Amino acid sequence: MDVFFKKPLLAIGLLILLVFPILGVAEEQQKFQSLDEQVEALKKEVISINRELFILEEELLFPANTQTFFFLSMEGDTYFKLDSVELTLDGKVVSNYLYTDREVSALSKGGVQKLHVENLKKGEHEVVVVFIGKGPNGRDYRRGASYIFVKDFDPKYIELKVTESQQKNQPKFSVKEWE
Amino acid sequence: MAVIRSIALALMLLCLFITPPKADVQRVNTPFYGEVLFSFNQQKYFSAIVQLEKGLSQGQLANDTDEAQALLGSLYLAYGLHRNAQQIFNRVLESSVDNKSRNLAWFFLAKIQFQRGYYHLAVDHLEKISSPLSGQYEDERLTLMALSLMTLGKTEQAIEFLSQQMKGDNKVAYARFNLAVSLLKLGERESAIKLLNEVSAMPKQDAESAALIDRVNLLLANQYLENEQFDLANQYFNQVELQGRFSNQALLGLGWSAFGENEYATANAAWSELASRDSSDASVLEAYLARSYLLYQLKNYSDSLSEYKKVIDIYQQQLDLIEQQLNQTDFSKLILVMVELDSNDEIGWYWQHDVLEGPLLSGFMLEFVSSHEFQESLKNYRDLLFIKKNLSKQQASIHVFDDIIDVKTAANGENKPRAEARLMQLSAQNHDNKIQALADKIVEIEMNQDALALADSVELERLHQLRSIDYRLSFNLEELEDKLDYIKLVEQATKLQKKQRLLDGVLKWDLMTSYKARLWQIKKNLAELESENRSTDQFKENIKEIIKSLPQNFDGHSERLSAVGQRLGTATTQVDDLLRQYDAYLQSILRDELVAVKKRIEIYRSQALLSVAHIYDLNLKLGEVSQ
Repeated sequence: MDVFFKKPLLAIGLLILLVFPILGVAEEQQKFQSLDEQVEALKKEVISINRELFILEEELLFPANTQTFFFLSMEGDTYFKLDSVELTLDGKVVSNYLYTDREVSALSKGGVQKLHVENLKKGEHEVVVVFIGKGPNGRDYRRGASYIFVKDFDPKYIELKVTESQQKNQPKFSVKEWE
Repeated sequence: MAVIRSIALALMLLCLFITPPKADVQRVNTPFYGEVLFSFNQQKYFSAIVQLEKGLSQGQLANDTDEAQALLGSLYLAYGLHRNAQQIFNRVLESSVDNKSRNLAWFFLAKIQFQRGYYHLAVDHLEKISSPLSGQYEDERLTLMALSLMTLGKTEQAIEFLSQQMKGDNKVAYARFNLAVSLLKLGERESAIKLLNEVSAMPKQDAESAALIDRVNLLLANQYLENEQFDLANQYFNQVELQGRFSNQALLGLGWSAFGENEYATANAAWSELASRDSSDASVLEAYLARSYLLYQLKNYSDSLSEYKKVIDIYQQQLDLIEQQLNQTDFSKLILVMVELDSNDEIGWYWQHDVLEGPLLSGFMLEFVSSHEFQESLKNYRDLLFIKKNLSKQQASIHVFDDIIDVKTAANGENKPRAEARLMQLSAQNHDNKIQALADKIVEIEMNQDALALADSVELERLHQLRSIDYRLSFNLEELEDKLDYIKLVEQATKLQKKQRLLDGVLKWDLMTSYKARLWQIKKNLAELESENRSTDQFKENIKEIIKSLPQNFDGHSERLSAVGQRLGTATTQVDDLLRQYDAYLQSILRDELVAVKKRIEIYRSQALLSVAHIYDLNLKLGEVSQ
């Protein structure tokens, strides 16, 4: 009978085992640490490789004297929910970007998206950007902004910016050179 | 062993309260730093680190350097690069940064030390924080301090730190739960129960808090059950949601609690409900045994015997299934299925996956799969798969870059000589001397008021003609001196001379009167000429600039590309090797765990067999049941 009276205790023991997960043995822990260190070193090396290739790519595809960056930034997302952006450069559509919720959220937290990079000759150029999304009261919203800039031999940074007018309760769209 | 368990537990606990660094709305000074934040805010830590390192190495983040360094440290931490993170934070502490940054650096450094198991260092670092941290970090600091002190056996101080936390927050609730678990392990039951009761009394705000409170209620109920406080145990078991993750364990405990109070009907109801559930769950398997035992306790030996026999069959089926899994399951494939869906993701250290494929494994292995050790290994395995894909993609990029270099080299071969020839042509057309000569001439004209010098070609031609007529008239008169008609001719010549002089005078008069206008015009022309010349110079400069910007050759790029290619090859070999090692390691721990589960069921089965033998023995004595 003793066996059976001990049963509740056995059950409790099993319950506690379920609450406190079974943990690994010492050898496994050591093995894990050794592998973990190797993974960490490899991660660092792969980051370094990616960085080097990133720099090489930029140098080869977009030489400093012609490179022109188009960045998109957002300040506030109360009156405008961005869906997509169409970027036209000197009359030619160069980018049509559709945003995920995650990207919009990243932009609204201060992130800046490198929307497009172009090689441009020295001289005057015109950029036209169309912002498409949902405006105040969830209505479809489509607004454009344009900007003429002069490209010289230095890299050029153009900012496509969505801001908000608290007074008018409306979004504002602008294109300017990054200051 | 106890120490290892304690460290592993602490690591597991840390995983529960550490969350990805929060990205508040931030205005950036440089677009490249904004780009890093764009990746960071999407938890693309790998991309963010690459962009940040590139930006820092190229000086593109000059106006955001301090924040960038701090972010890099956090990103290293988030991506599991703890050693690199520690180096960054150490650097921050060495530099003369403001108090706020210094405190944050100490905090992150303490986090690293805690994770590595250096609890006394974690406490030392946390003690160096001179003022409360901002927002979420302050509660995390208190939790970290409490857990570190707890592990060092300073229980009272740990509780003191926890009491300073904001109540009602999920993270704080987790911390209290974790500390309570640690206290229970150390035998500090009263303090643990006090903490658990605080969490249990919290409102269930969302699914996360509901699950935690269920877990706390289950733990509390088990404590009371162990202490034979069945009323209290009942009360807490009943608070666990019937369809929640912990409901099976709660039903099992509820049954035992009712059993302890001799409320057999309630115990039977709880275990019967549990017995109808998925039999791959450990609680369900135990419920079969408990129900049979209940019938025995009610002296219903015949039904009890029948139940035990059924239970033995079920256990045998489960053991066969496990045996089958152990012999046939491709654990490698199983692990791959678990991580494959997410291997493109860059979430890194904060990623967690607790679903196992397969009907048998899911129930038995749930707790094991949630364990720190398994999750950490799985994360590394998943990261290695991501790295493998990344390296494969970059290998393709290297080929593309090679082609680009070839094309550009060829284009350079054509364009550069053409540009140089044009430059030479323009340089040969040097107008500087001509312009200077014209300018000198204008100065001279102005000084001498030389209107004739401003005559145009028609006027000059006319002046020339008039001078020629004058000369010819003089010459003819000398020749005709002895001739008879001399007088007549002289008269005609005189008339012509007068006419010539008149015309000459008119022409010069016109030149004199238009002198200022002509001078202004010629000065204007000179200015235009100078302007055109400047444009030509600028054009020449542009061509020079273009020639200068064209690389002499792409040897430098080729060499760099070749070096990266070699490193990439080495890294690919390493990742394949590590993937093999991790695969073997994960397989072995999964297999070991399944063997442990098998042993547990074998114990249940032995228990049931023993009970059957016992009932037979009783029956023989009582003669109630025939063989």
